[in-house]
Amino acid sequence: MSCEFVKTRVELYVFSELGFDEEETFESHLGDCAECTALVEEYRQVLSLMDMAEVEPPPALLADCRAGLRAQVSARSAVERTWQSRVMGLMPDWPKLLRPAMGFAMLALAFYAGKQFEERKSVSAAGLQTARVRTIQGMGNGMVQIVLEEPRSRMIEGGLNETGIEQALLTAARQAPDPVMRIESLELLRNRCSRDDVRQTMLQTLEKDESPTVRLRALEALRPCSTEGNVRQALSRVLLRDASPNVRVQVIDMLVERPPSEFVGALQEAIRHDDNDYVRSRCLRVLSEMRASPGVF
Amino acid sequence: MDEAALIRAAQAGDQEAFESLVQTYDQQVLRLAYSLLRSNEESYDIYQEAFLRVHRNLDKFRFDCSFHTWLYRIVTNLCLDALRKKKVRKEEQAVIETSEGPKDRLELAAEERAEMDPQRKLLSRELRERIDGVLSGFTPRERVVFEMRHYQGMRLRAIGASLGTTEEAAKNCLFRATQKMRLALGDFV
Ligand SMILES: [Zn+2]
Repeated sequence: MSCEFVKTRVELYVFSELGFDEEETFESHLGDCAECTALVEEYRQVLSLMDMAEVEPPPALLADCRAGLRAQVSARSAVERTWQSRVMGLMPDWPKLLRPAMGFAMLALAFYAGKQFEERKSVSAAGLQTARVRTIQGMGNGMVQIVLEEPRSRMIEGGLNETGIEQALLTAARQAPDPVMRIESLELLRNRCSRDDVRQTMLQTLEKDESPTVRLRALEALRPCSTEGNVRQALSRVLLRDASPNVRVQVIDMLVERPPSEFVGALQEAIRHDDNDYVRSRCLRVLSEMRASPGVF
Repeated sequence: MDEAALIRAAQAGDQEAFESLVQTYDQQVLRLAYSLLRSNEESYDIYQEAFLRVHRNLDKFRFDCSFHTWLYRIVTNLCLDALRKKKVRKEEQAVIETSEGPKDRLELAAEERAEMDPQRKLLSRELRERIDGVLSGFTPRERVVFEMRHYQGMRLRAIGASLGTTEEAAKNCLFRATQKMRLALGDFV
């Protein structure tokens, strides 16, 4: 075999990417040819030089990535869940809802009124679980009178422009025990942050909500007003104080879009004190994009 | 649970299954992205985008290729895009003057970090510049193929599959990349 055979295949030989037969032919030529052996050796050394360019991601990065993904996925599923529950709401699973309430009613009736009234259906079973029994009175003829206090549900319907609707959403954003409901409310209120009440609620949620996912939503909802004075101040505070690196990074990203010089101080502060590598490097990048030297403290 | 069962559980909305699936591969994915882009921010973004796409599209995964291939198709596409953008950006990048000529600020930051890495410190500055030159002289595809073959140890067939091409095309990329390396570094050995 000729040197030509080796010279046109050495690039793949060093990666063991020749076929079985070709590799055999190649190696049998190397046995006879010092020049080609030297060529192979040269390629091998070039590759080992390239090994020095090998880098490993910093260990904290994987953890940051995983945390970021978890937050985004759960935010996504939260939104999906609300859609599912809306659909479910249209077609309630009555048998399942009634079963425990029915049981309660039966028990109460059996206790006070005796077995013959077990089948009585005039008692509305729905809502008994949440109802409070106020008085019970035996009526002597095997009947019993129970006065129930039920929390009343009321449905209101209307456009976002209506005060009642907006107020209810603001209350839900601040107080709903279910984070999904808080997120929903923020979603509906987004683009309304120019209104004082709405913005106040969003700011409060951004700084106080216990769920990072909800805080992220509040941040997102505040985006259109990110240049307003009180929003800017809140953003700086969040960048320095929020416990979630995700929220901090999102704040930084918001600063990138509208880089007012007031943020430089907060960014520099974060570069000095943030305990998260990724957040620090992000700040550094923003600063360099803002053409403000990270060295000016 | 084996992988297929894990995928089916994740498809059915099991969050824990999805997380285990992610964590089977995410170290490799991050390593690839970081090695190609050499930036925390960009590799973080690729990680997020890749696995969010997996999450969004998992119900469309029909087991007609391996999950690894499917995932890597997403990841390599994202990496290729990022490398292409980087190449464009490089030409319009802000530079500042240093004693060693113009340097990008972030490259400087990267260099400061490199100073703390003894292995890299051993390399003479010239060799280091040459190696960086080789890497930036690759086309985005050559870069990805070389990276996957040399540093990640993947087979060319798998590399071709994740690039949506044949083993032969991946082989040609590797061939050209290796020639470029020898041209740039041959006189160092
Ligand atoms: Zn020969």
